[in-house]
Amino acid sequence: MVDAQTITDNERWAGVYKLLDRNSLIHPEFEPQEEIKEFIQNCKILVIGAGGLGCEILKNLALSGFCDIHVIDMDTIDVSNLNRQFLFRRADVGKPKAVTAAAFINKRVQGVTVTPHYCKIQDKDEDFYSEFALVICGLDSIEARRWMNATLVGMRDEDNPDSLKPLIDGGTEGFKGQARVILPGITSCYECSMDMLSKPTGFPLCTIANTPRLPEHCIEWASVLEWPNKHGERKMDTDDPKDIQWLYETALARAKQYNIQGVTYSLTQGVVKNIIPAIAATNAIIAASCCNEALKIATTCAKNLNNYMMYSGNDSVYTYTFEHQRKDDCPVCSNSATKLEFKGDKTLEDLMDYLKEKPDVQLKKPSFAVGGKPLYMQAPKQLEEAMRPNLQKPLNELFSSGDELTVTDSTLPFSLQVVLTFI
Amino acid sequence: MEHAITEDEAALYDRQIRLWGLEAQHRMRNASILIAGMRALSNEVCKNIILAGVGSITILEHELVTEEDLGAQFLLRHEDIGRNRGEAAAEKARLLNPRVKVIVDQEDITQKPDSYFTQFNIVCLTGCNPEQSIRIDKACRESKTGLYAAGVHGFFGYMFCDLTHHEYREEVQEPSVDKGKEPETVISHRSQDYDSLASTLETCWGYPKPKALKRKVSPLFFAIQILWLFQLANDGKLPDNSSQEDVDSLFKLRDERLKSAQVDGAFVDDDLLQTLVGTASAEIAPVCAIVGGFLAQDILKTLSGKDAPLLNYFLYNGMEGTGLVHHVEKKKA
Repeated sequence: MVDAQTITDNERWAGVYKLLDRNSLIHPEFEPQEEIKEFIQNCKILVIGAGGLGCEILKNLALSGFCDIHVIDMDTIDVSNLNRQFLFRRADVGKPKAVTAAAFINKRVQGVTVTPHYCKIQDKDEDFYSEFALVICGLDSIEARRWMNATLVGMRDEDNPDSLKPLIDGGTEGFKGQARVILPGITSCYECSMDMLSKPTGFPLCTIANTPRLPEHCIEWASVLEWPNKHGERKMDTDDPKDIQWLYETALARAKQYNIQGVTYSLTQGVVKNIIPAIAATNAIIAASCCNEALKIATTCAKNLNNYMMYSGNDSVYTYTFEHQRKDDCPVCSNSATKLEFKGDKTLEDLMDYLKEKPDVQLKKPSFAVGGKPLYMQAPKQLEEAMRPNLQKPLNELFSSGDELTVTDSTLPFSLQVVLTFI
Repeated sequence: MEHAITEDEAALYDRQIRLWGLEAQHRMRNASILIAGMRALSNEVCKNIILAGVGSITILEHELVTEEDLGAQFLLRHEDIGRNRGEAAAEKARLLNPRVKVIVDQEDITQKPDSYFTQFNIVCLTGCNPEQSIRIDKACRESKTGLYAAGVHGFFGYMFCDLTHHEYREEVQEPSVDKGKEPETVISHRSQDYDSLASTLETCWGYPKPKALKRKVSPLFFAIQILWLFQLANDGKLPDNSSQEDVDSLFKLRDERLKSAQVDGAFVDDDLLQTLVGTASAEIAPVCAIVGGFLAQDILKTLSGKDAPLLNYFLYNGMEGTGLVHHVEKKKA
């Protein structure tokens, strides 16, 4: 049993100290001090995700001098994770990622404590998040990022400096990745850049149903159209090889019919599970970029990234760093409402579909209210049924031009204020 | 030593095979790589290429583990102090992927003949004395063995690539001639020629205007070269900021190099040079992870024979969060 050693005068941290001990001519406010070393040692830092990015982030933080690290992840380990999530071994398959990762780091790095939380980020409240000095995200979904971003931005109180929780967000896909620094209320936030995201590949239903050309169309046909036909209410289990086999054979038969090549078991899995290719190197680069920022923000030993770095390894190596600008009418970090023009004779359902598709909004199941009065609520069931007829009513019957609508979505902890003018 | 991918490996490597294809995976599977110098940067490179499933890695390292090594060399533990650094790291590295053969050679690199390096597909030198790097690069060029030379200094890092002459294929999506059909994948065969490490220390730029210069090279590129020049003149020793003699010598080398490079003398300022020197032996885990990630990925790309590898310098500046690629060429007569 090894007791926790202080890092203040330990040779092992010589590397980090060389950074902290010199007078920085690059950051004029930096003063080399003992307090900074103690700050890293004692501050609580939160890592979101213990997967491809998370494992790398935990390693880097533990070796940079951070001693009190928390990690949240709701997933368990799969064999396909082992080509990059290097804190896990074959024998760990099936175990919770957060717990396994924490145990590995605790055993390997003396003096560092990683506390795991095997749950969803939404299971924790503002009291939990406010304990941390910094949050680093290695998430794999847009929805989760939006939630985290909105929560931290929402927590910020200009009169209370401790309420500012820097959010460092990393994301990767194949050979590409990005790292960004979000200072809630100061820099652009995640929501400000929603329109930067490329639309997810979706195939039009008519193509899938009538005029397939790609193997993916055949697979989508099998999973979206044919499955309910043949299986009724039973939901497909994408982790069950038998279900994938059924989908594969069904897609293959259709492909033969239309003389399309390329349907394989592997492609079938990839399409229905929305598998994103992933490798160790990209995750290493992005995770470490995030941790560099954590080190700089925690110690102010150098200026932090301002504020977005993109990496692409497709063609040789390429990185691009720029300052992403705040959106004036960002629903999360600005106080002003979004201005929208829409035809007054269109229905509420038309508006709902528009907001679902609009790149910088992308709501899943929006509910509407105007002046505090609900127009359509997705839940509870009785209310939804009672208000459903409103969906077919034209907007100019429900409210006046220039009114402010409040749009909410259960997946997001913020509301979108929209000032709607009829055209 | 030809091995086909087994079903087990297909499941393990699924996520990466979807990215670079089965043929690339097969080529990596049959490759042997030399990693010379086993400090933090190498820990990262080894992790990444072992996870990817290369054939074999030989670690060349003669020094012993000290307490300072425990800072960023995540493959090491406290109990390893006093052991050979390569051997201690290899023990943990093997656990990342038992399919990869990891060999340790404890001899000093200066004792290795030129012929030693030509047995590998790729030679990767980290934190190497520039005199050795130049010699080994020359040997590798003669046998057309791919060479990478990389290092990290505090918040800074660099990577140099010399593949002599590298042939690769590129897949490009082109619209089909047939209007009704989907875009086709067209495979084109390309090649890149590389200059030697020694020659890049002698290149010159002909006093371009500042804007034009900034597009070609960065101050950090020269700062690293100046560090090497100091080492070449001082038996491999790194400069010490607290020695006025070293600092004077460093600034003199800077002035000389910039003059011979035909670049404005103010391009590399004192601050940058001294910050680099002050943190020359500092290993910062995240910086090693970033440069190690880039380096590993380029090695894998070279092995796969698909897409263009680095040509020929990569500089990482952790202060600014930027990574720059420079194509530094011998000036044509």
